[in-house]
Amino acid sequence: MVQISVDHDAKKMTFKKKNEKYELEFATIPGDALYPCALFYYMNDEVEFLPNYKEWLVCVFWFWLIGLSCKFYNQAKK
Amino acid sequence: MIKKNIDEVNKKLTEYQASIQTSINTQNLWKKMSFKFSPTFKHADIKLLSDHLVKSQNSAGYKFAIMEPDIEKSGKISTFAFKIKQCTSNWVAVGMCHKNIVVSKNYGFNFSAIGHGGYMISANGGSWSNTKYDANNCVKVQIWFNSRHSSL
Repeated sequence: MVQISVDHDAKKMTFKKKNEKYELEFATIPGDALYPCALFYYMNDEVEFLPNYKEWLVCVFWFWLIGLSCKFYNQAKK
Repeated sequence: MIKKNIDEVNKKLTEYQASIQTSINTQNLWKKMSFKFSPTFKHADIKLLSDHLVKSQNSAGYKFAIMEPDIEKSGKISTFAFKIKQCTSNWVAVGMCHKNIVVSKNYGFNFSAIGHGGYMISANGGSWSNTKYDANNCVKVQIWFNSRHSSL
């Protein structure tokens, strides 16, 4: 899986795969917006867009918050 | 004393929650953009297997498949992901592109010059930039995609 993050303010996109990442600067053109895309050359290659990949990030945040709340609760008990 | 500590804990938790919520909203994590491969804005040799899955067919040659809507509608920071389901050739690229430029070139791609409309990374580690010579048609990363029958 390749995750792509686009920062519109910094005009920079980041490609991430596992622990590796690569940054690429981009420019905007008035009247010609940017769209996600795939580019092929050979036959029978397939690319899938993953619409729900973000959900794990939300879970990570909530687990972290739960852990933090347990920590504070234990401190308060002491 | 215990009540006072619990109140302090609750206060800190509320502050952390607000901080996380701000961070989430900034990154637009809650807003799911329903990107789909366009049945219109694609090369004729691209087959839509579903809204989120495309396949190249018929003949070799560069061919774009564009998704909709545009990225700028998804907020300050847009994030999305692709999975290379099949790449026997070690040449598939993903990223984003200027639709009008790509359409004007009939969904083809001239890799040797800038102005092709794309900002992408390809299976062989290549970087492709519409605007910068030093980030176009050059290997910038280790090979990310396995070359044969990969599913990443």
